[in-house]
Amino acid sequence: MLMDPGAEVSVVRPIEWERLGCLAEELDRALGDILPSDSEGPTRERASRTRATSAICAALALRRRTDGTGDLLAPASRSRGAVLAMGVEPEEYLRQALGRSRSPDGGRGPQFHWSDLERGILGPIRPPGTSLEVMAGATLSFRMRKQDRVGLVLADGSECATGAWHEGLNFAAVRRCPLVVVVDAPAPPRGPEPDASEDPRQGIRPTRLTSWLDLCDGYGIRGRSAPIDDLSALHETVAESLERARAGGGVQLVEIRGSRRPGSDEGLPEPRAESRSDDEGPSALFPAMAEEIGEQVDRALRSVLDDREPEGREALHPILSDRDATVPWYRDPAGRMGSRRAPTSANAASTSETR
Amino acid sequence: MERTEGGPGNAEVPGAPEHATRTRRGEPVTFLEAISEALFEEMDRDPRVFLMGEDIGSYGGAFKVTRDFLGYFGSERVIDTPISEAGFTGAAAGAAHMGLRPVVEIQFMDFISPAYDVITNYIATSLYRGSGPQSLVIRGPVGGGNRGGPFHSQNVEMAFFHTPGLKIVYPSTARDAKGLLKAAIRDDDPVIFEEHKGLYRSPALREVLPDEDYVVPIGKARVARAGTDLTVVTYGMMVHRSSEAADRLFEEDGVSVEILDLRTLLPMDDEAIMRSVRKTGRLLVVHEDTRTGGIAGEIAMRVNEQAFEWLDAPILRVTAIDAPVPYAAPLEDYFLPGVDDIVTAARYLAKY
Repeated sequence: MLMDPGAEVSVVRPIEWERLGCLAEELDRALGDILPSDSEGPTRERASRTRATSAICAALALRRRTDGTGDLLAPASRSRGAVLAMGVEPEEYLRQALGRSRSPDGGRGPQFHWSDLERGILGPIRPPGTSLEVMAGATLSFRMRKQDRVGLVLADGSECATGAWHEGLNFAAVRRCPLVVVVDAPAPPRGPEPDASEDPRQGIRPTRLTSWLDLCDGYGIRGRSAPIDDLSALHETVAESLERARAGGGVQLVEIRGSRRPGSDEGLPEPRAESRSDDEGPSALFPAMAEEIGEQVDRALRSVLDDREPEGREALHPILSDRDATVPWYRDPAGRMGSRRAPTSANAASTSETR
Repeated sequence: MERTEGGPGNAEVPGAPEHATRTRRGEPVTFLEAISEALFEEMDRDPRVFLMGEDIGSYGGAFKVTRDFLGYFGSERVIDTPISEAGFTGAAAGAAHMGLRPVVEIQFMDFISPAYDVITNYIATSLYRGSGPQSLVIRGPVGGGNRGGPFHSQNVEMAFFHTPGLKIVYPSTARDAKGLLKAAIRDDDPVIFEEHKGLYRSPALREVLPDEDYVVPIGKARVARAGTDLTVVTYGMMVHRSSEAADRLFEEDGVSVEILDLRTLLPMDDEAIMRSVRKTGRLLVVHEDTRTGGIAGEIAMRVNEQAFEWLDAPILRVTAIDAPVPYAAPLEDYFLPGVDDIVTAARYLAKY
């Protein structure tokens, strides 16, 4: 299967962006409806529709394949909806989120830290920042093998304060890896300013920078910015950066301006408004499409809820490629501890005979 | 030892690093040269194998393991990295995802700690998380006795020993070093490969290796010395210290010591340990690593679970003391387990 983007943005593409963005939002809404509100995991980091759509819009600029020869995407948890652009079906998404046995990782969820390298997905990674290190190596392999492939990292900005992120970015820059990093512009301070007379940028913030583009000269990489509320411009910026990286231009950074993180930015003294209001979203613009997607998600959810959950013993594998975890003797039906019998009165008298 | 298909053959390789091809010329090799030969032969055999590390290219590595590799294999396969253990170990994980087989050199294994996150949280869990195998090797020098102090002398095995998803190899001879490293590179799981720097150029370890493509299976211990009165389970440098002690014990006390060289710490060869313990009834565990949380505790518990009835004495251990590795010679000599310590503990056990 081959899903190449074209150079131009036709009228069809924005509709596709909106459709997949709406689908991502509906999937997370469905999960939020059935999972406890205090549950850890998938529901904790729901993406806004704007974020989901922008991530999908960026991912659709990749050359997508299903045989492991296409480009590679590493989304952040909050931009995980971009996997829909790589060919993940709603049922798969829900199975993974609900930890069903037939999920992509075999029921080890609910989590999204799985990968499908055939479809070019390197799942979100914890702790944040590590994805850049790993993608540096993945794209290094493209260069070593002279493959016409690139990698795309979607970062939400919170990981940019980690050492892993900077080591990965530096490594990729030094080796001129074919890698594009899309990152939200630095968030403003999360708490009240310490003193109005001081620099207003002080406070609890992940960085003193007001733009990640200020890093680019230091790392020797190229950077551009794109607005989150102009998907066509965002798509073209990412596409152009991908092709530049593919052509040997090394690491490219694309900073997205105007995004807001639910959760991380909730404590802002003056939260910025969403870039787009609901009235401008697909529900309003394409009501029939939105309704159809809602029904599609409901059908998928009913189907997935019928799937079985994994059995406990499936926790034993795969630990290593050539061996599983050992079953503790007290869970062994034979009740044996290593080479001797379990200490019961019935067999206590016979233990000396085993010597 | 297992013979495998393919291999170095007898032909000279023009331009090949001289120290990495001694076996082809029938010359003996040191422990370090055995490591170099394993790397060279695997890179020559498999284009997916490549090296990353600090100063491994033009400088040839801090211990010159990869001297002249850059000229032979080129800068795409012998990659000098920035000082960024987390960064390049993470990059190795990415390359492994794409089907390559990276071998990462940590200049001194003490410096592996910045990469602890990516090794334990990412690499070790990849297969289990459904993200595929991580076929990579992280290797480097460990061990004390060289007055390197706390930053250049540690043994790091126990920092990773309790992490499911990793293998840990720690050879004691040149033959095993070469065969185990080749096996590690071909293994589908991530392998941490520890090389005691005190063994690197030890004249006593120089030997002529088989001029064939052999591997030593991961997960199999070796009886380094057969005996009947007590078992010493050990690995790395302590195999040789234990051998010295065993000589003395036999000459002075008539005690016959069996030495089991673990070679692989994870997965551990329980069968070999139990076989020996059932034979001798007495067990002494010797390791250079510090005492608390050392591998001796795990071995003792396994024997307790699997061979308790065969024991005629308590399980004892000889280890480094629980302190950072000292710089000062008198302090480091006191810190490290020595032959006298092993003899003392073994005598106690033998008489128990």
